[in-house]
Amino acid sequence: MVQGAGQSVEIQGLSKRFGDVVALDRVSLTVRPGEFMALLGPSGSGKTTILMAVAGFEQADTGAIRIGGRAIDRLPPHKRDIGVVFQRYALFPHMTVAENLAYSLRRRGIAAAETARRVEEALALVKMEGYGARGVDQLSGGQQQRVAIARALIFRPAVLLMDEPMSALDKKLREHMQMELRLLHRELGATIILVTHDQEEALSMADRVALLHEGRLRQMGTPAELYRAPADAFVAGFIGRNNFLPIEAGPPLRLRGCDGDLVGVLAEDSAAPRPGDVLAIRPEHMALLPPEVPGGEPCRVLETAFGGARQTVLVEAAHHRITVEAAVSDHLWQPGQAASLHFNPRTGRIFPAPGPQ
Amino acid sequence: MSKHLNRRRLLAATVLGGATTMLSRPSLAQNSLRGTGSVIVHFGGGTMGDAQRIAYSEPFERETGIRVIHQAGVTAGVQRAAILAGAPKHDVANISGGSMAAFEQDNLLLPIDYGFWNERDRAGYDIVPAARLYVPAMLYSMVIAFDAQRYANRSPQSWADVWNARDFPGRRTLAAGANAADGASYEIALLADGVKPEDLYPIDWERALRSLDRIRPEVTKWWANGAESVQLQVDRQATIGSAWNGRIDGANDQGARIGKNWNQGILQWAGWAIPRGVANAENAQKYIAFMSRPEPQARFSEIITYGPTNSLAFNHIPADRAALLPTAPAVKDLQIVQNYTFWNAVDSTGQTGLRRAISEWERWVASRR
Amino acid sequence: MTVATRTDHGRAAMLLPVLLLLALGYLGPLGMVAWTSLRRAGQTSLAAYAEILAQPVFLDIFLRTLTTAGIVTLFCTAIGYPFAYLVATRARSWAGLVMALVAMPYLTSILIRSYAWVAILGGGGLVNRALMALGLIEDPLRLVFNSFGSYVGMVQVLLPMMVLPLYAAMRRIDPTLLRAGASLGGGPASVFATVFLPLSMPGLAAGAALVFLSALGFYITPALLGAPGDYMLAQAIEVRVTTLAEFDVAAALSWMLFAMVAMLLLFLRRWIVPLGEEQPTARPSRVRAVASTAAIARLVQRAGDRLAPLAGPLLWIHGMLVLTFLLAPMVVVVLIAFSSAPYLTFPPPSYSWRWFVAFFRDTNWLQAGWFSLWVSTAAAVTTLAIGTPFAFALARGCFAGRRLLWLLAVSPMILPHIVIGLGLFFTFVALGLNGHPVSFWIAYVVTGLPYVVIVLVAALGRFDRDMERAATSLGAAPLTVFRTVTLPLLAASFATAFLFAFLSGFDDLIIGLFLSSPRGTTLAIRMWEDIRLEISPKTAVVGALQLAVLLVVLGARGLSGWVGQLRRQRTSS
Repeated sequence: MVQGAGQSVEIQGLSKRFGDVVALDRVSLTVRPGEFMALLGPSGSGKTTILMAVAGFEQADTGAIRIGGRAIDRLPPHKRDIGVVFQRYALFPHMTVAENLAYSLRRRGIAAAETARRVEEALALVKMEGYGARGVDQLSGGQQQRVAIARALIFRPAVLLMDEPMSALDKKLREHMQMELRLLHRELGATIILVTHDQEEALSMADRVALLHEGRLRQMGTPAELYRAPADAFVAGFIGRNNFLPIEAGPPLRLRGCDGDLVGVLAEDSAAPRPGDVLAIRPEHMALLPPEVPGGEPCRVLETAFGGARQTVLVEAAHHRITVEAAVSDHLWQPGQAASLHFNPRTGRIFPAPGPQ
Repeated sequence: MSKHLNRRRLLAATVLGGATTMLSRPSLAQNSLRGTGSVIVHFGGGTMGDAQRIAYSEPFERETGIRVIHQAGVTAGVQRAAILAGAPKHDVANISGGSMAAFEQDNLLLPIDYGFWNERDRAGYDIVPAARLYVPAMLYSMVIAFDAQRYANRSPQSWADVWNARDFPGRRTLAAGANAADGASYEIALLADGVKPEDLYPIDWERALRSLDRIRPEVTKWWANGAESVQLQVDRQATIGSAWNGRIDGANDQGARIGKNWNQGILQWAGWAIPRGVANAENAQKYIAFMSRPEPQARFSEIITYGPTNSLAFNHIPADRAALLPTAPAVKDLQIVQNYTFWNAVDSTGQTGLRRAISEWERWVASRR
Repeated sequence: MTVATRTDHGRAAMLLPVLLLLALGYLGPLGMVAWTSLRRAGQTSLAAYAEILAQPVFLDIFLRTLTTAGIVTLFCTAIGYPFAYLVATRARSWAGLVMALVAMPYLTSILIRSYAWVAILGGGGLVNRALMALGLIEDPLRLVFNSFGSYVGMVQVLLPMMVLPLYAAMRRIDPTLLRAGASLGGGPASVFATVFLPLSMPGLAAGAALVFLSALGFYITPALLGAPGDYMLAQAIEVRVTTLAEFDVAAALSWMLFAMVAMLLLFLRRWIVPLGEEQPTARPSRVRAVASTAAIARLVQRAGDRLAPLAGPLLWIHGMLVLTFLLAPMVVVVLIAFSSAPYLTFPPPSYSWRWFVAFFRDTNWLQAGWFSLWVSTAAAVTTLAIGTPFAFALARGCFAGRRLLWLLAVSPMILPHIVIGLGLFFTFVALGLNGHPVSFWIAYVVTGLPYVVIVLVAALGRFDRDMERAATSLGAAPLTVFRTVTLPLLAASFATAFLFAFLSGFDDLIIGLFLSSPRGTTLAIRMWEDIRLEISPKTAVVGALQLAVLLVVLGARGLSGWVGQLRRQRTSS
């Protein structure tokens, strides 16, 4: 299947209210041609509303959407040439797999022979050769998803939208399909917008991630940018894991109740600490050493969880509960043990105290 | 609706009809009813419809050249609504005696033009007279009906016998009181309680209901329509009760064995009338005039056992057939003509008898469920 | 903002045909009836209402009518739910046939159907004879001409109204959800109570609404099979129109019934009116609320899980009993149609074609049959054509007054037909349509509309809109989406709606009597004309013929499905 190059999607100032609820608040973002963009956020963040607006299923109150530079706001959804993969696939149960795939081609008046050829091609693309005559209800979850993807791609749309496509799959299958989708993306060069609440999925699959919260775009960037330089405490907490430690009031600035030297811990581009701020530090940016090692904060192990190469350890230090990812060597931490907690240099970031999230 | 037993009679009636038509053709004493166009007449369906078609409509068409359109009958309420709306359902309507007074009172009917009639025929209406606004169409009687086999030795002779479950065991069926005058259950209950026919009206509602209380345990079903009254006896769901004589004869014609007793029968009638606002008033007058003649009436009673309203018709009915009719001289006086004047008159509570019968019934069934 | 007004226009266009129809064929006539209820002796007065309120017996009749309708609804639920469950989950390959059989009771005239029940339940009826032959009883049981008989007759006729929407709702429940429930550790009974039951609620609500509202208007069945005490309000209204011609009291009674039921529905509308609260992802919220009220269900769950292995056999036994219950009278009717006897008797002394011959020789009946057939079909097609967009607008739109519109469209079921007939007749005379076949058409669209709206709104409430969105995204224009996706997926619901709409016209006698004319006389009127005086086997012939037509249609469908399956197998192998 030859795929036309993906097209850009430009979203400008998109707002939408449902009654009193603001679903989208002046969101602007641009997806580059051929880019794999993930819209990430908790439920109610507005990510699905953006998808619905791009697909044309929902009308935004204000704002504009352009695909390949062309305004599509007045285009009815069936003329937008956008492929959509739905959360529960929405395969037509009264049609066979082949009929599902041929649906969009028949709508476009493509000849039967050409349709049949392209259906075969699409089945091959998702490694489902020979399944054309099957009923949809005879397929496993993973197979249904492949068919849904093939159905959304067969008419060579400029943009592919995916609404939580992995949420119905078990973990193993999900990881497998994520990989296949990446391969497919590279092969086809289509522009893909993926909506997900699963940050791991977003980070592992997308070229760039747009993080939404309460209808607003909080940060957009590559997964590494979001991980390394979160724009605010929400992003810092949502992407990866983080410990938030309050800063003690009054100079000299220190971690409340801790003795350690704060300045060396902060990343170079971190804001300067002010009273009432928090220090965000990731579990993987700390080390847990035996209590006799000097320079660390004395602490006590509360609980541990084994994770193969790493051990997640919850410790209590100066009345703070802190999660640490400890490298597993020959030593496994046990609850009740004393230890010394060390912050890696230039890894902490200062944020204004986050709201209740 | 043809049945073996009845087919012969139909055939006979048709032949007889042909013969009388031939006989009557030369007699120019009859008024000419020739005309043009059509007339929409009430049509009873079933055996009744056969009788009407053969005895009245077909010879009428032959004689007058007026086309008869048979239109299914409607209930009195629908008929009334239609006249009120200015769009009557029939040019010639058939209205039960119990409802006629209400049509008269509300001025919904055109006067009958007796100018089309033969002089002697009007005098023949000696049981129920032909009136200014209507002409009695047929006479029928609500009589004692019983299982002829079960009560072969001793059959019920009066409504009191029907109430006597000790001497005449078996389940009963009587008309539901919501049928008001047509069901005649109030009159029957009073007669069973010993009220003399001449003291029947005005109806003593309390006494009638007390009488119904007594028979209630024996009643398997209070019938809702005429078909049901006889069907219950055919199926032996009930073995004693009330039914219209014509329904009993109809079932017996088809092989049932239902006995009837004319004694204390309640004689009822339905009338022909011409609603206000009809399109073919003159043709309707002619059709009614034709039906007043004794010969077609005789033919009608040949096919279905409803009594001719013009007694002159008996001159044309064989004696064995005449004996089956409610107005036969031998049985006429055993029966009581239902007093429709009472049923339509307003009593001290401001209600007509019809209305009173229905509200009393509603109260009775509610209070003694 | 232009966008918002565009959807408003679209919604108005979807609602308008039904609103116009209701204005002409329902609200106008009802206005006339309302006016009638306020007129006495040429003056405006409340005398009719005062008269009703002064008589305590009317309160009794009102309450009895509501109680009877409620009890019938409970019976239909208790009998219909397990039956629909069986067909939807365990007997899917037979579903088409079974659902058609369930609709059978509708296809015979009410009088012959009632007679069949007397033949089965009466003193010398089949049941009593069988019980006595087995020596279980000595004297016949009283099974008819009392409230039991009345309930049997009503439940038999109304059961399809419960089963068909329930079945349609259950068919759409994704079996993977049940498997998911089971995988989360639920036993069979808990999965049923926490997953299946809540998801089938819209069907149950629609079925209960259909049954309850229809039962309110019943009176012939209780009058023929019940005791005198089973006297329903519709009968009180009917006798006031037909015998007393007291149109004002009849109209006032109807309005009071209407007001009472409308208030009841408004009060219960959150449960009865199957319209979701909020748009795009409103699916489970209300359902969950219902599920949480099913606390009793949870109490018996544990016991239920233990008894689960018995559930299968019990369901099948129940299913067989229900089918027997529904079809036994039909068997009686068919046997009577072949009776050689000149009158109605069961069992027939011997069998013959004489009543079929009599039917086909009777041009009056044949003409009336054709008239009924085409006018009911035209009305059902129209009802579906205008009712479908209406139901879509109600189910999909989120605008003030949706529930009121639903109630309005459904309310022709509440008012006794004799009152609608009266109002329609006055209207048609005023419009110069008296006696015109068009008047039947309009009337039957009005009476068919409630069925279409109730069934379709319930169906759409549980419909996965992503199916339509998927089709749209694949390039299908709205009408194509409807034709290729919505319609086939909701085929069972559309068929149910069409069937009910058709039968509401075909079965009608009461409105037809008002509208009848030489140009328009329905089969129901011809049958009534005949059976007013005698019930002959000829009416049974009509039922038998309808059964035959239905079986032929089913057979053809089954055959085509079988051929299609063969072809599919050949291509895939």
